[in-house]
Amino acid sequence: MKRNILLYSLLSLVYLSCDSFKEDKYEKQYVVETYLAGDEEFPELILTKTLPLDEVYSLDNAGINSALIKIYELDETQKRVDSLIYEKEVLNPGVYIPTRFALVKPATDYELLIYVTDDDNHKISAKTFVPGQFDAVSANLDTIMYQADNQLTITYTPSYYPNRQSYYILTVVALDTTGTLTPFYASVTEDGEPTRSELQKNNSNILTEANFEVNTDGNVSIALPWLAVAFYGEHEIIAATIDENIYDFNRTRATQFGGATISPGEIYDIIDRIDGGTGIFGSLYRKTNQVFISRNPIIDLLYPTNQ
Amino acid sequence: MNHSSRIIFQFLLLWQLSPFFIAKAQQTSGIFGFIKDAETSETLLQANLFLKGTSIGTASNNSGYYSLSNLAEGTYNLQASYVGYETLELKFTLKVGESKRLDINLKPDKNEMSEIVVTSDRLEEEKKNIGTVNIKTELIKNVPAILEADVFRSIQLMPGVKSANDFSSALYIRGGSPDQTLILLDRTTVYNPSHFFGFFSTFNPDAIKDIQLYKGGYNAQYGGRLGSVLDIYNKDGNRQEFKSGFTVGMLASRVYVEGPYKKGSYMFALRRSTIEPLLYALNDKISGIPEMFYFYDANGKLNFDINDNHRINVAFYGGVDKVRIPFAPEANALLLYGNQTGSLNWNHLISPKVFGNFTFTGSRYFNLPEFGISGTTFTRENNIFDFSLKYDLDYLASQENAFKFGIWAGNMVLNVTNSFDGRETFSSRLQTEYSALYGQHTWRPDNSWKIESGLRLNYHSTGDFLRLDPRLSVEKSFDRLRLQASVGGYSQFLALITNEAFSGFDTWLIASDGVEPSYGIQYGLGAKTRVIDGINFDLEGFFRTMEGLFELDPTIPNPSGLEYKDLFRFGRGYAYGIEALLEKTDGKLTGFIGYTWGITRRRFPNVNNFNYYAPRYDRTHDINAVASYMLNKKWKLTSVISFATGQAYTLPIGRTQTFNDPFGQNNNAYFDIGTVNSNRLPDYFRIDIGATHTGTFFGGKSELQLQIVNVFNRKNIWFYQYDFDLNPVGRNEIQLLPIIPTVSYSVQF
Repeated sequence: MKRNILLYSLLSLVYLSCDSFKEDKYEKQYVVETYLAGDEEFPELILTKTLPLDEVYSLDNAGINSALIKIYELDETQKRVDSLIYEKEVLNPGVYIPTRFALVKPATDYELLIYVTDDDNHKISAKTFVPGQFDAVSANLDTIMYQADNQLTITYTPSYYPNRQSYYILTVVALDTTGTLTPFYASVTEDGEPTRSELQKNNSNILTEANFEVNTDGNVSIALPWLAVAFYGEHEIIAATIDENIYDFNRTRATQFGGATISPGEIYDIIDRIDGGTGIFGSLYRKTNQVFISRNPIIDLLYPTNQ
Repeated sequence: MNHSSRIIFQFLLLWQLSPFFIAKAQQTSGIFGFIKDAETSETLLQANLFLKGTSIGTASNNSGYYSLSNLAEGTYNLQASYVGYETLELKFTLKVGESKRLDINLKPDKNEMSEIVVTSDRLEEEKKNIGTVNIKTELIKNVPAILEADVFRSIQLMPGVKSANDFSSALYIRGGSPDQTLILLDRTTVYNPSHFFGFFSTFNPDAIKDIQLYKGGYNAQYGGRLGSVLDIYNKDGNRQEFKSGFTVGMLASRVYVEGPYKKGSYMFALRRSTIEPLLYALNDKISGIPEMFYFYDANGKLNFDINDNHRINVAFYGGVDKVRIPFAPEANALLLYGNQTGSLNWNHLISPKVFGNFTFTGSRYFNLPEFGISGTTFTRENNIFDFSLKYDLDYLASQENAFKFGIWAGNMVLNVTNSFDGRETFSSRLQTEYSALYGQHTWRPDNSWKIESGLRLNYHSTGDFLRLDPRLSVEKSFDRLRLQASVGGYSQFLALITNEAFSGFDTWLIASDGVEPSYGIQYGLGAKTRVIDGINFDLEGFFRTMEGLFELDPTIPNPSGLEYKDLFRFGRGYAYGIEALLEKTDGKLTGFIGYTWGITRRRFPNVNNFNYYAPRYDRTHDINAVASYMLNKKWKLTSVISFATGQAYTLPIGRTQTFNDPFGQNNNAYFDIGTVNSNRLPDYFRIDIGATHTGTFFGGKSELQLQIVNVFNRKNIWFYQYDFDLNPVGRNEIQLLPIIPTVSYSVQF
């Protein structure tokens, strides 16, 4: 009896000491990608599937080519009031395009519905609220000197989003990438890496309204940080407000590759807000300004560069 | 405190105090005094005393004070012992009603190859309570270490204590994160006890007298943390003669002085990094080497004996890490962080049975990183100021009853301010008044039972939080065997933002409106036995819950404009395990083997679909074997063998990417993952060896230490890094420490 008790105790200990989680194996997931931009045409939609890590990834391998796709416009009661059908684009696997011209309405709800016809009509659905319209009411300069005391500041009207402050992403796009790099970006470029095309567009992190000066009239003034400028010359400055889907998707995707408090090797899920799949069905509203950024002789003296 | 709580508390207080009045009426004899090192007069904490031929014994408290009361008149044979010291026997006689002051001086056991004289079961077994480890400074200095002898790395060898990786000295105790351990230096809280980005701790082994680690189930005297307490005391200073010493090492060098003065003593110890010449030499050859890097710390203590019954000491600690790295033209990082602590302590004998201790403490932690890239600056200022008053009262009423009461009240200010491009983007200033009141009763109804019960009431003004933490432990002694059980409630009002790879940005946040304190219950069972003379075996099991865990949400990209409570994610966790320790304490070969089997899990919203998952530091099996062999009077060999099953990590099960991201580059890849941290890295294994040669240097005793860490250069894996520039995705192994030889030279005068 005592021997049996001891045996069972040891076996229990061995069983308990084994890890209670089993290793996960690859399972196909459908991936949606599209971004609705207020006051702009409905964009293409890409439908793919995830692939195992040890397979070569390409649209040819991952694209899903047999799906029925519709985007519905919803009213305040979430009732469908209009719809837009997508069709498979002829040339590229996984790419779907709207069947007619239509503009995305700001401050409006939209619903996405997909049926994958060669997978027993597997259903994928998602919703988004497009941020409200805003305008650039003033920009203090159209030409600025790099790292001058006077920073480029653009003032925007507020963009409506229900129940929260607006979330912004600033993008600086160099229109001419053949020119000279600013000193910091010249110093981090080694043997052509990163490429000029990779440096052409710089995005900020997600910024809340509280990062900026909110004026008494409710307008928001945003100053361009010099860190975002990789080239001298003509630039587009794009300010975008984003919906909850892009906010959740971008912030959780960023932490997949590390974060301030995330241990190396620990990877979290993406928050995708998509039923029946993953990816992003997001929306934004954006405004673009142009500015010319000239060289600063003092910076040139301190950090000479030929790049 | 609300009305009903006040009533309950007053009742309990009166119940606890009542035997005091009863005991006063009896006229019995007793002895009392301090237990000290015979050569230095340092007080010995938790030393053991026993009356031979009886079952009467006790231990000294954290001031080295003891009392044995309610003795009948007669002649007794007292035995006193402390690990590393010769056991003392002395006879004394008591008359009726006599209270005799008997200060005891124990001689250090210099003959390390001698056998320990076993005196009694009670004397030996009195040492350790459930979940408690006493760490000797000799272990810290002798065990092979990475570049520098370190307190925390030595503690990481104990069962129940884990490390996150070779680069971190942080303590993960019984499934808890580092912020679940309260760290005290001379009764003062230390908020960031690490140097060199977490590589090793701020505690100078030359300055330390005593280290007690309560892995779990700690009593009502301590509070404020869910898991554990690390209670460290610096030396008082040699009261007999002037002593000094220095150590030259590869990373840092140390110097200390101590000695008597008038009616007291002093101790000063200084440590500073000495790696700058190496960095200077590498600066031109390797990019990313710091342009400036140093750390230093200073410990000091002044003691003054007003008379035999009143002593005052003033202790301080200060430490700073500073590094400046120009990682590109127009881009640099400046990291500056450190701690300062100070305490004023007055201990006093009110009567032979009543000992009091008053402490005023101050602690400051600061962390001030700055980054500048192309004229754009990012800065953070994080400061903690914590000032408090404590009073503890030991009432040793009789052999059957001992009481402890105390109060701790303080004011803490936590500031966090972030700025970007010269503009303040986030600012939080939280000030809280906190207090704790506790009562503890130790009851020995007969020779074989010990029951310790306590209550601790905690209050934090920010959030108006009042929490009551009960504690209970029971111990039953048999011949050569002690069985122990404990249960207790533990509250925590703080949380630490940290990274296992780098502690240079550690930031503390506090419970407040909308952010409730965490709470947990701990259960413990233990068996301690002396197998044969000189060989001890301990077996402990634990289970603990963690409710209301609050952590900074790592996915929040920008805290500006968010309410304080929206910065956090709230979850829960649990941990359980078994620890075994086999220890050999005498002979030429000494050491221990510690084994831990442990499981810990967490659950947070938006992580793992709100299912439980293993945190990174969860390792199921962990074994450490430490051995020290005295080859002869001049040579000692040491080794550490560490084995642990692999840490948890997340294995991506699929990949995908975005093609039209308006905010990213083209082809931004990302993972599809299954269960968070459900996979295990390969097992961890490492052997460190060392040799110490004892000699002389201009009349002083010298020690030359040669050590090799990871002698077989095993490539233990820290984590996997994925390379999306390759298609299919490439995976690289990022490894932990390779083979590292170190040398240090110490001299003591």
